[in-house]
Amino acid sequence: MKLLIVEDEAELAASLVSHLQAQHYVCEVAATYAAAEDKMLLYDYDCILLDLTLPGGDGLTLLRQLQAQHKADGVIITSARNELDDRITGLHLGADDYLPKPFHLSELSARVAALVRRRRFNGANTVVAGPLTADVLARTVSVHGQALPLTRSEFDLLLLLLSNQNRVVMKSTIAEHVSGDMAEHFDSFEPVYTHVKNLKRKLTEAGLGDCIRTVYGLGYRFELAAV
Amino acid sequence: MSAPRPLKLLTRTLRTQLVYAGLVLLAGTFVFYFVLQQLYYADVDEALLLRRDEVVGKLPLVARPADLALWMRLDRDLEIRPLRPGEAAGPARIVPEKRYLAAADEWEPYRTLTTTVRYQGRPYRLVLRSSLVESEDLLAAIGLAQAGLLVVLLGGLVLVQQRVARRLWRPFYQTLTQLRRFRLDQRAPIELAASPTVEFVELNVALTELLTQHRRLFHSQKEFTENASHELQTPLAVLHTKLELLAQSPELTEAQAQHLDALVAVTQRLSRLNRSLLLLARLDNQQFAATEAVDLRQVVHSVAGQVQEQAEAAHLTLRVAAAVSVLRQANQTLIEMLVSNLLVNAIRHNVPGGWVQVQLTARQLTVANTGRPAPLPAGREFARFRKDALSAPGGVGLGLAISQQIVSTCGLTLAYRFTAPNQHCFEVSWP
Repeated sequence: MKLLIVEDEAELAASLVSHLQAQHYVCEVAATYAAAEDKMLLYDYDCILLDLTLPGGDGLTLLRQLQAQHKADGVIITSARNELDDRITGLHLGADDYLPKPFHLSELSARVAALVRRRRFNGANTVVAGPLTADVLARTVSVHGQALPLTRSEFDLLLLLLSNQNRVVMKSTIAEHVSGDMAEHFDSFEPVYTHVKNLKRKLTEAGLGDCIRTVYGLGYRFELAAV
Repeated sequence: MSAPRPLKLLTRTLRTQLVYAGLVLLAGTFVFYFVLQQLYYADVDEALLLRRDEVVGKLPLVARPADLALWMRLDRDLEIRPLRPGEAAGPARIVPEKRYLAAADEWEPYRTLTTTVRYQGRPYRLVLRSSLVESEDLLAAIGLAQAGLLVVLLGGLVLVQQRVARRLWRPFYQTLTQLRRFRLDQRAPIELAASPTVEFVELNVALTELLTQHRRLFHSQKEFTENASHELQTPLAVLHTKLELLAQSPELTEAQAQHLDALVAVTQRLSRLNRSLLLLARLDNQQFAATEAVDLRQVVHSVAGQVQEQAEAAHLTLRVAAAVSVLRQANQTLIEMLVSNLLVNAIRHNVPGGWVQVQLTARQLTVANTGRPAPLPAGREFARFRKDALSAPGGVGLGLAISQQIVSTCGLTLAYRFTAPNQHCFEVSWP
């Protein structure tokens, strides 16, 4: 799976590479408009993470070029310009998603995974982890072929954890993923604890064992090694 | 001591003019009257002197001294008698005199000429009088006519002056009206009307320059806030991702994890603050122009659904009474933000076991909640970064300021009421 990271901030690009490589993505970085233009038009990527403010040009122009060339690369805009107009223009120009900075790496993984799934396996959009199968479109989960009923929040949480297997997902990431923008206004992680507790119980009851580990109150890690 | 009530410029000029005109009128009438009187007296005196000459010329015609008495009886204004001993002979003297007139039962003014003449070789005293009764009336009539003329003249001058002044000052009042309507954050630069008066042209040029400069300053300040917030997003993103990467470290100890957790929380708060500042700057810059028909009922239900979990976590009862559908022409994003800010505020500043009541009517949206026993400080409810005993820990202190700004952007009003001890209420009303 090949990703292009268009990002002029070197440290941020390094973080993205480090995080995504750990999830077995092949990452390339373009730090300028020109470099991004070259790479985008020469090669095909499964997903392009596109920053809009670049030295030498506007990311939206790159998007326009991509559209003109009928390239099928998936694009996620990652921008500090959290303007509604940019968001709408970007999505209109064929971007698949819009993630305003600053974002959570785990959230980014979930978005990239979702995008790759949509593009690679169009139609059959499922996530499989051992005996667990999650159908993203139908929003159903089955363990060992047995349907496991989950609430909307629990399903979202599970999908986030599955996209970040064996990695710590911070509880603030979970809060925002599950409750949306509303989460940032509250300091209480009570709803996160409740959802995690319920999901854990349901998965354990379904025979998956203790697959959600608490990491020192920092966050949670999904790992199936125990099974 | 209070300053005197300021008056309009035109009133002030008029007042000065009227005082001056009045003084001139009054003094002028007196002076004129006096001058006329003097002229008239001089005339009368001259007539008296002529008459004396005439009398002196006719005296030799009077044969006997007894005839003098007859003459005196015929001419009441003439008196001629031998000079009494002790009376000095001298040149002619004319003095004013008042004499009682039995016919009119009045004292009447006279000019009296006294002189010495020789009659049949002996000195005689000759007294000639001229009544001023009719001349007094004439003088009064002339004086009045003159005064009337002055009144008309001065009144007319004042009126003309007023009209001219009003026309002259019109550009000034136009400028004043424009200045009153001027807003620093208005889109279009100010354009002051042209004027044919040099002073006003200069005033307008100076004002335009000043206002343009201020507007530029204001906008650059807004722009600065916005740019600064933008520029902060990237370092914040780096900080955030680095912390997340650090969390993946397999050798992470519990103590390190705790530090990391605190750092993550602070970073989150920092990005929240930054986002809020950015939003405020954009609200100030009126960057949310697009409007659509927003269904408030739907917004209320949707936001209430989003905060339900947090309300439960804080052990609060969230009651929503929004049955009527209210459509308002507004920016959907802003309205959602407003409702969620108010609800979040009501939940954050609550007490365990309390409640939040949201009510939507055709006229207003009310968010009431239980909370601290004391009301919010009057006049500072919507202040930015208000820090006092009542602010909740961890809050950025911009929620209500943003709400207030949204409300004014959308042409609504937001009011705070302290309804009962422990009960706070925010009301959004629309015209």
